[in-house]
Amino acid sequence: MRKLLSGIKKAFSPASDEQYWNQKAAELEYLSKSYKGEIVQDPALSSSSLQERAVAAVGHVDFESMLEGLEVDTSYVAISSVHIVLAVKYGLVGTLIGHLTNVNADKIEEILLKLHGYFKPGGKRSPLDYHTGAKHRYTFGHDLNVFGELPPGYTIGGKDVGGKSLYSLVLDYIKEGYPNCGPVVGHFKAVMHILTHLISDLPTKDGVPLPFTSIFTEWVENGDNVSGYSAKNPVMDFLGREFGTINAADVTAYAVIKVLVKSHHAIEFHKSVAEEGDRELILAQMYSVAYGASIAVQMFIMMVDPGSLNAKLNHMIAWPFLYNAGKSQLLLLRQHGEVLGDYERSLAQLESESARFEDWVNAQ
Amino acid sequence: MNMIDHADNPREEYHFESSMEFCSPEVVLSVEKKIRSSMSLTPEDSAQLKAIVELELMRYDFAHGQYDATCRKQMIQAVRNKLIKDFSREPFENGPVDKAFYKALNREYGYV
Repeated sequence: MRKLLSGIKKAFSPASDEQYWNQKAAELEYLSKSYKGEIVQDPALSSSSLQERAVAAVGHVDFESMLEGLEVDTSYVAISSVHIVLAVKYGLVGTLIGHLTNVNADKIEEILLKLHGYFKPGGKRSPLDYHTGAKHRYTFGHDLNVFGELPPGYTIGGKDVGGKSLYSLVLDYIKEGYPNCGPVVGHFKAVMHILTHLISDLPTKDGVPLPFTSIFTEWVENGDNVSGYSAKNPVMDFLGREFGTINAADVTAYAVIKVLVKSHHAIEFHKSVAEEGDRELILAQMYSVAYGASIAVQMFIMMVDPGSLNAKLNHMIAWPFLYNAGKSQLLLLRQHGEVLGDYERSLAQLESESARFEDWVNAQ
Repeated sequence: MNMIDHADNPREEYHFESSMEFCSPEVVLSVEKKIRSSMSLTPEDSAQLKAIVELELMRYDFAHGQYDATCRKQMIQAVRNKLIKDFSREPFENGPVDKAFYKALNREYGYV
């Protein structure tokens, strides 16, 4: 019963790391002095625990001071509660900046459309917009699939544009609009036309679909449409705007979090002598916490206000979150493996009959 | 053709090219009026807007009339070809006129 109550108590008020290691230091000090015969055992404490006997014999021992006394290198670093709190704050700041991006989406779009205008000869209709309708970006031209084609017989302005890849349509469009440009400049302008078009679509509610999702587009002849075709993309229908798109807010939230965490890390470890592996681990852990906080907020918004612009999965953050969480686990596993290897080597030396105990102590 | 009134499905974004629905002529004409009063339209823009409205009213008639598929297709293409012939423009081009029209039309039906 006493053990059970003690267990429950520990579960609800676990000892802090510092307290735990100080207790271990006291036990070590006690055992060391007992071994050397510097402590006379008290028969009254014979049924007490090691910890109780240690406290009674040597009192409080500070673990850090003990390590310093033993000249053990204590320069290792680990993620602290301060790091975690700051990482959460960085995640929230990034999400807030994303929200502000959505609030100012129209102004941002206006600026980006001007940029697109430099690669849009005469302001003429872009081949990326040859297919129209609600959610038209989810079916053609807006997912970096430059090999995507419009169906055979598809016409624009009386001209057949069906069966040609998006890139060849854009290249023809650039050549027609800039007849004097050479092949290199032509390709450059074509690539820039596609990129600036996608960038200018980012601030809108629909954003742009995930890369290469248009390969699932199905075209169906439909005489009730002006284009003569209907298009649907079952993958995007399933994912929806919430899970299948990227918008400007996603990009700004990711960029802000990345810059804040990276800057914090650079400043904190500017002159640190901590090991590269430890620093790398803290960085990955802080990214995981910051990105995780941002994802959690957006998932919460999805539950309480599903129609909101912020109510979506941020792919720019979700994948780096998984990457950093996985990286943290692998780095921890590696460190754990190194510690176990050290233990094994140490134990092997201790068990070796040829080695003296003093040699083992000195080798630690 | 089995079309439904967009008023029964206002949560979905409506567009002539992607919806198998129809809008009420009153709403379409009211949106046209708003666009004409709020935008500065060139003759090409004005003709494009007229073509879009014509197509929307046609769709309403299709949903309530007896036109067969071939006839519907011919009527739609006639409106399209006239605009291309007169102004080298398509009714739907993701440009300022059609974007503004469908934004206002969807808003009229309560789509945010």
